Amino acid sequence: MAMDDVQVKDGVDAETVEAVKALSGTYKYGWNTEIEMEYAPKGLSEDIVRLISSKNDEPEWMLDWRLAAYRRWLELKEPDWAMVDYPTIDFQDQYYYARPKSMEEKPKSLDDVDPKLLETYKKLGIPLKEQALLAGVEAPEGERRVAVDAVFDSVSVGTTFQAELRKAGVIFCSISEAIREHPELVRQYLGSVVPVSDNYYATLNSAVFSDGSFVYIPPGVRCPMELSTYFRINAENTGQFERTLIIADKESYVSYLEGCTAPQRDVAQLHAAVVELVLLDDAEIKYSTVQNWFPGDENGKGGIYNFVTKRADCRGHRSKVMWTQVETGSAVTWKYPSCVLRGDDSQGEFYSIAIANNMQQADTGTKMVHLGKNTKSRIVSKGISAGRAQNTYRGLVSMHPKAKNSRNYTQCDSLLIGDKCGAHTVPYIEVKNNSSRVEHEATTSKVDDDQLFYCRSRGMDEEEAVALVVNGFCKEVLQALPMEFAMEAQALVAISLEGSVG
Amino acid sequence: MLNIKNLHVKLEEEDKQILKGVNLSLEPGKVHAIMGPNGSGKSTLSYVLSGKDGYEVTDGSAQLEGVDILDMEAEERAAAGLFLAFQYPVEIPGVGNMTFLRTAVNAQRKLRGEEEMSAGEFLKVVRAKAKDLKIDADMLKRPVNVGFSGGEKKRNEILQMAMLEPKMCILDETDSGLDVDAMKLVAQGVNALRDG
Repeated sequence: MAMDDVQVKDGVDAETVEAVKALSGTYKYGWNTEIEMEYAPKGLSEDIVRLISSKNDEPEWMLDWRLAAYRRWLELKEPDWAMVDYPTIDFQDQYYYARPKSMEEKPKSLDDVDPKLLETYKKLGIPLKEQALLAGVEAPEGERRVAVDAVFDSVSVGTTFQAELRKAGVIFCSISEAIREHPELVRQYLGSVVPVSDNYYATLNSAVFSDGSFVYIPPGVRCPMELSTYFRINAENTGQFERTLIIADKESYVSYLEGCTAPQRDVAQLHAAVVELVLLDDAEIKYSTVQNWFPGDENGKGGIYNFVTKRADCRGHRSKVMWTQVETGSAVTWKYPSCVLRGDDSQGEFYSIAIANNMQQADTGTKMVHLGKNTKSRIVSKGISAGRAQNTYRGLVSMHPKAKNSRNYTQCDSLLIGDKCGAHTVPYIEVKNNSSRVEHEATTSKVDDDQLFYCRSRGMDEEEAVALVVNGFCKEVLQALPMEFAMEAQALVAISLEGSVG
Repeated sequence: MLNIKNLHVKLEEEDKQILKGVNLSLEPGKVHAIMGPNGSGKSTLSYVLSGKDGYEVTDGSAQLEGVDILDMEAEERAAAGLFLAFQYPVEIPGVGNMTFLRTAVNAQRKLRGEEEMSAGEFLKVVRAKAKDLKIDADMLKRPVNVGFSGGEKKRNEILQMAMLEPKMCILDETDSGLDVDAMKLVAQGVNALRDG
């Protein structure tokens, strides 16, 4: 596959390239940016929480909120019910805040941002300089403009198209900015979908989150462009705790993309994010994630622990939310993007491809909680296991007594490549009224040797053959992704499975 | 074109010898029919030539246009011009027939150092060849062989053959399971390739 040729862009020295190639050769975001960083002292304490709050210039109420969360966290015990195994995390052996020194004073415009940071995003292929896009009067055929919020370690580096979005009334900025500029909105909704008490990692996040994205779409507005946030974990030993809050007011629509990468490191890094989505009447949110964290080397060393809480609250009648995720990286994935279908006639959809190779472990799925009448949910989950990986789908479909005529369709398919990996399915179905309809289909299959030989006898090499068969397996989910992501996802699927056969 | 000398093949996992010294010389433009009772090793010969796993060559050689193919990977043999039309073509769910064909054509071109076929060009060619084999647009969109009848599967093999333009075709019981009309189409397709 030509895919794993490391494209050397300006500024990357030969040594770095060699180092990346040597490590695993295929994770092409494994380089790191040499940049002066400012760290909070290691470990977690009330002082660190206060430090984070003051670095972000937060008002008193925000600090109080954090402290309450921190104090609660001290009383909690780390959960261990997931089908994942990882070395105990020493919460005191992490930095909870890291910021590029050049960001000490918030830049007034992208022009003020350290060029090295912008270079990083350029390498990742993310358009940060909106001028370049706006200047091109005739944009190349089919080029879509996407507003981007770039987050480097814990800090939002810049957000594009803010001015244009503001004209439509859309607020898209970092959450730290939102806390300062739109406190009423933040106060009203923060923690209302994922309460501070929700789970161990959400509590931790509530205490130490440093940045993330904030989106508000006013009533009746269809967001004029796709919004996206690119998270890049760079600093060593730093936990990344972003917090994202998206509010779609009545009859609004937004499509949001979340992309993630991280360099290769020997030591594991923790990523415990919280994403809250609020939907009012007739609102619609499409949230897509292509997660390409470093998966650890073939022996499971290093890699990202991705323990994330994502939830959408369909408060409004006829509101709709669609979660689409492609998870190929991270050493351990533990997440259940969920929907609370509160409003009558609201709908939730979940499309997921979770790939676990080498020593990766994934315990992922979704929770569809039907509270309102005539609510509908659809779950399509494709799990692919290879190497010695373990992939678990864990799903909850719950129909409340008042959820008359609610319906769910769940399809969860597992594909096994090789004979040392595992796929597990743990569905929970609770139906508390007699007019609901729940359908659950599950298949488990192996990539057939005969299928691979068939492809190879037509000229494809082993990896091309596996990629083709797997893409066919994932097609339904890939089709649900926004176009740019679909291409990236297909490539990612191919890369993540390299070396899986044989 | 194809020179098989003293080929001895046994099953990899067992001590069972299947081919015990096959000699065969095939000239371009000629058709050879290999016949024999069930279990005599006909399919084994096809599989060994096309590079399927599970067989061990204990003696002898096979050369395509003077080049030893037994050391080559299956895909390299395909790119060198070898094609096997399977007796029981497998299904590949989720992979559209068109996608499969295009990936195969371009994979071979890449291996040979040739330029890939553009989407437009490919579409034109595949539609023309599909028409000759009475394969409609719907069948082109369906996942490879999924839900295809026996005859449709065989015609699909011939379509692949027509698109890949191999030098050496091995047709493993291509006529089995075909009705009279399908037989005619397949025969026409094969002859068109031989003469073209």
